[in-house]
Amino acid sequence: MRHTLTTYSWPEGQPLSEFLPFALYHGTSSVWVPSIREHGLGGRTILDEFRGREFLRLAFDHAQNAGLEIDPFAAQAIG
Amino acid sequence: MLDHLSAAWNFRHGGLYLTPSRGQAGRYARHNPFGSELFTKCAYLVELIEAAPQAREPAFFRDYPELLALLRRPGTPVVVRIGKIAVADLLDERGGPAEGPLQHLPANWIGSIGEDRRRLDAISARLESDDPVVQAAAVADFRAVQEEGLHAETFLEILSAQTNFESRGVYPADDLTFDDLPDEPGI
Repeated sequence: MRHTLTTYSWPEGQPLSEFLPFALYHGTSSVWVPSIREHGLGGRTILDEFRGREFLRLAFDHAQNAGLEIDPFAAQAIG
Repeated sequence: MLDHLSAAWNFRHGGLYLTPSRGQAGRYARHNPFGSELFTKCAYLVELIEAAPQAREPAFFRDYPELLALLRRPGTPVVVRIGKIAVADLLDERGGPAEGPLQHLPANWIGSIGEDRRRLDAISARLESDDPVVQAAAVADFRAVQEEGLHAETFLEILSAQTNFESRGVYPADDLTFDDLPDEPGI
């Protein structure tokens, strides 16, 4: 039976001010794992590539003009 | 689903957001099946528009075939762990230098990270033992450590409640650990 323990790692001998003394985490979707493996985490700007902000603005305006009831949380992104 | 999203995710959109809390990253991943809060909102609006009575597909939908294809194929939650991070690459969630919140870390908490690491490394080495007696003792020690609660784990949860980080860095896959989350809530 093998066990996995949580450990923290940072480069030995490096001052704390240069590297964080603990790990950080990024929550994402399996959709992006192949891309992250290829380009690295942070290597692509997917919101720009997919023109996400632009689409959100158009979709929000469309929904509003159609008189649909929009969740306030979705509206937060537009301001 | 949107009701479950908290104000804690009210970040500027588009950056690479990182948190000291694995649990918080997991919650974000669970609530954002396309990997981004902005995509979650896009998917919500597409669903709202398409569900409207006598709805016709808006003409502008045709200009975004890749985005719509993405929004029709939600993924499963994944947490990525980045072990080596240069402070200079980080901003706090308001876009200021990350040195600010990091300067307030109590020295004894920073020290406890090293202490926890040494304890866990020692137990980990014993877990690798071929001797079942040594291994069983190490399991017992590990359970005791879990019950006691690690200083650093507590500290990191507190820090993650205070701030998260945006990074301008690019982290190659070799420096990352990918963790697929199960479907059930809570990690």
